Amino acid sequence: MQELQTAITTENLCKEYYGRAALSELNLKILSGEIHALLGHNGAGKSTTMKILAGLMPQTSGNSTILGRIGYLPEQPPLYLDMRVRDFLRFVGKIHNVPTATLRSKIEEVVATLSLDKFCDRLIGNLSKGQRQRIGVAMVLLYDPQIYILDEPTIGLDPASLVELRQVIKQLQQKQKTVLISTHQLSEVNHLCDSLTILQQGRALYSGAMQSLQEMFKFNAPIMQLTLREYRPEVQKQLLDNFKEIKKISYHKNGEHTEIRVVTNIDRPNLQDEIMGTLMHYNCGILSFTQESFTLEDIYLKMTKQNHL
Amino acid sequence: MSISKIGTRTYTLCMRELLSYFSSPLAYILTALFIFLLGWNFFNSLVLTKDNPNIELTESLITPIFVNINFLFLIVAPLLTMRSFAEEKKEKTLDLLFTSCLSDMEILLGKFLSVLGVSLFMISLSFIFPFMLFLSGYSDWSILLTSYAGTILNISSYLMIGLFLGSLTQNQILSALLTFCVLIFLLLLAHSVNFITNPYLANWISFISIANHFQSFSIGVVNTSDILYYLCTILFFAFLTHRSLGARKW
Repeated sequence: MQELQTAITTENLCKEYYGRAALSELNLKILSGEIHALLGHNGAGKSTTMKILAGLMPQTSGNSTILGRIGYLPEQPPLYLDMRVRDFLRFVGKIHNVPTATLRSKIEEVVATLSLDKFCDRLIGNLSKGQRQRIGVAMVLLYDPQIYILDEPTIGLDPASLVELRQVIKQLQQKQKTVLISTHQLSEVNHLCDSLTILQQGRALYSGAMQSLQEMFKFNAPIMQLTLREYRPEVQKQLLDNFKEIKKISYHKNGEHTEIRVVTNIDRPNLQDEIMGTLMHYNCGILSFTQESFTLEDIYLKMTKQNHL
Repeated sequence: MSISKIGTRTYTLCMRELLSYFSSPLAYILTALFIFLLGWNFFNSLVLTKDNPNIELTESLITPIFVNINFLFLIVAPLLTMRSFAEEKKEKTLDLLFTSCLSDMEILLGKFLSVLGVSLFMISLSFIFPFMLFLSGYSDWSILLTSYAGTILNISSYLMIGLFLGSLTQNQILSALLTFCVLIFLLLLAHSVNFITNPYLANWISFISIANHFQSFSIGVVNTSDILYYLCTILFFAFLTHRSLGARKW
């Protein structure tokens, strides 16, 4: 199998604004053809990272390497409000050296892809926020860069446009394009991304594959479902007394067996093993055990809350 | 990088800027005011000349036209250049240009040519006055030619100064005010010479002032030092603007 090239690398990337650190030693490694998400609260350093990568802002220290031409879409798409959509796209194509011979067909292609045909001859200033956002995406698609840096491209999009954009990004991946995307919509990240970086106050709490992140939390889920042969009230009392981390225990009889649901706040590792150990100690007879896996939202909130300074 | 591509990109930006100027009321309002004030002044001069038949037409009518054009551009130039960078910075559209294939020099050139284009359009409307004099028998074309050349050089300097100051801020009003103040300062510098006793310093300040370099053009004399002054001013402020645009990389 062909080894994938690294499209974006940052080494100890730092950015300070008037002595305040906006980015601290950020290390990213994004492979070619990968969709990578930047997650974080407002002010976590997502836009700063993107601006540095797009060459619009210098870093205070550290290095960044980008292999390929960049298409950058900032949070507020840079549109000339006094231009008509088609004229604007023609202008963008020309300043990005799109050959005149193919420019017309390219414009028609992006207009069709993002369903801009209904307002293609209207002034950009008269369009809604969502429509402007779509023009912003069209603008980047037009000159076909190798690397797409999209700062919150889903802002203001209606559900239909959201699905459309998701398909567009998936198609980019099929064309081996690299996409770095920042969004607050965690469902988008779940649907689209191969890897992610969680940023908090300029620091990366996690940077790597989505799968690895979910693996990390797999055995540490907050809710356990158990089917027991025997369950007595004193066992419940023991559990609640011994484990302060247990928030709630509910149970119901299912024929001869009892199904219990234990909700914890998982403050320490091996908690689930210890709970199971206690149940076995009281001869409850564990017939089955399942745990509800964490959603990305849970993981994100947990990580950012744990590391909140 | 091929020169034709540089030219195409600069031309594309320049045309976009020109269309933007002419699709907003600003250019039309400025042009209307400009030509009205110029015409009103020309009419007054005409009445005065009629009352003094001994006075020369060049001195009484032609020179005032160009003095007025240069004076009016002290106000027009800041208003034209305030949009170029300050507005783009505020609207964050400058990022589009910075992330494109346009170099900073192409951006600067495109912006400069567009404001110069609007200015030339406004100046071209003043052709009507010499043309009226031509119909009355006036034929000193050399003075007209040098006066127009001097005016274009002078106004180009105003515009480049305006572009530089506009590149420092994202506030259009501040940009216009700064440009106006700097232009007035450069103009009034000539008057401060009277208070300076050191002849070397007085000469130097007199040379720096923008006021003293148009005079020779208005009497039909093309002075190399004046042309050099204007070119140096344009290039110096072009360099500063280029550095200011490049500040994002520092």
